[in-house]
Amino acid sequence: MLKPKFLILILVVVAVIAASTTYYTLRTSLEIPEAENLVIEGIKVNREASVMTGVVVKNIGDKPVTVEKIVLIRVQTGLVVCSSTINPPAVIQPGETEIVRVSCELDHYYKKEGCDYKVLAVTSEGKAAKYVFGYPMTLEELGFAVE
Amino acid sequence: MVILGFFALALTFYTLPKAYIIWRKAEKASLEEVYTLEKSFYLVSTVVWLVLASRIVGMGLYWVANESLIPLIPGAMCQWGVHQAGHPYSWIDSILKLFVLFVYGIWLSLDMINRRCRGSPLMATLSKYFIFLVPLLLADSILDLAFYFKVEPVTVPCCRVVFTAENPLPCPFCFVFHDAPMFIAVIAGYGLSIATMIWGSVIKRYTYQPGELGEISKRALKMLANLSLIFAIIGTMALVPAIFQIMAPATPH
Repeated sequence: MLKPKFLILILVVVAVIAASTTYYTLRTSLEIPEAENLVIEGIKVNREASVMTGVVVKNIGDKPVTVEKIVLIRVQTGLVVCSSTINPPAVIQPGETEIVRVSCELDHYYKKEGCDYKVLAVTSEGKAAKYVFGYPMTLEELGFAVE
Repeated sequence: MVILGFFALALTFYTLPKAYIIWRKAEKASLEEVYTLEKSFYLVSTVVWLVLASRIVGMGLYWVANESLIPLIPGAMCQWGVHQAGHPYSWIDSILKLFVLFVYGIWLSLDMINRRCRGSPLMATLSKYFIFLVPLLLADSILDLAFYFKVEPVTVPCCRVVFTAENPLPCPFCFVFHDAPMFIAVIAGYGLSIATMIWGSVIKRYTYQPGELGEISKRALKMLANLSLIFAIIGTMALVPAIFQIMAPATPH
């Protein structure tokens, strides 16, 4: 029979492997190839509720682009804060700018000094436009983002 | 933490000469002297229990104290900022805090066996071991004092500077203390499991001793092995919700 000492060591090793594999699988799944014809120009926030209410995306290509999902990641931990499927998907025509509506809470815990967030606008082609912002924002950034 | 630091320092300095005398005299002492040393050791043992227990409590309190300091330090969004404010003592102190339990627990478990045996057979060993523990105890307490006296409400750079979008590693403090706090239970469970296993492996050498000491050591070893297994199971049980905690927000809604 297996000695308790070895059983414990096996449990610890399995736990470390399980936790790190989950974490890196999660991070790898967020490494989506860059969408060349889509850019995120900014975000919209409800400052009172600390909620990201929209993502401003622009189609710089010559074909329509469909945004299917918005993912919000906290940069300092690499963990997803919010993942929202856009239903119906937002179709952005060439040269147009649109606000893709979502509702993602920006953490109150980090409200004092803030932290960084990364937004991914995932297209139907499996590519994504990326945008990094800090929240709470500077006054200039807020000028654009506040609703 | 500051009070605990001074408390540990004072009691360590009080016990040190007594433990040294017991260590030096115990092996060559006559029957009458042994009785006097046993009485003296009883006091040493009680005081060391107080010191080590306070340091173990302080080990948990340390992280709680650091968390409570975050709002008081401009620029700090997590414990990384607090550590920056107490640099360099904070970093050394934190590393030390992760390991002291393993070492202090050895003395405590040996003393538990000694207390259950007639004639304090481990009196000399425990006194000697305590003297070897003193540098660690002093480092642990002095680093606490140095850290908390160094911390001031000065603007510090926090983990946003180090853990940027390009860095593949997460900020450990943001990760464990905020985004996935179930990992505290996982770390505590496995940490205690490994600690009890280490204490058990030290006790094991006394199980081969004849008489009462061997018998009591065997019982203690069995108890520690069971405890170790229980803590490992707690850690494993906490691991499942901890993994869900990091995966759940990634599921699209």
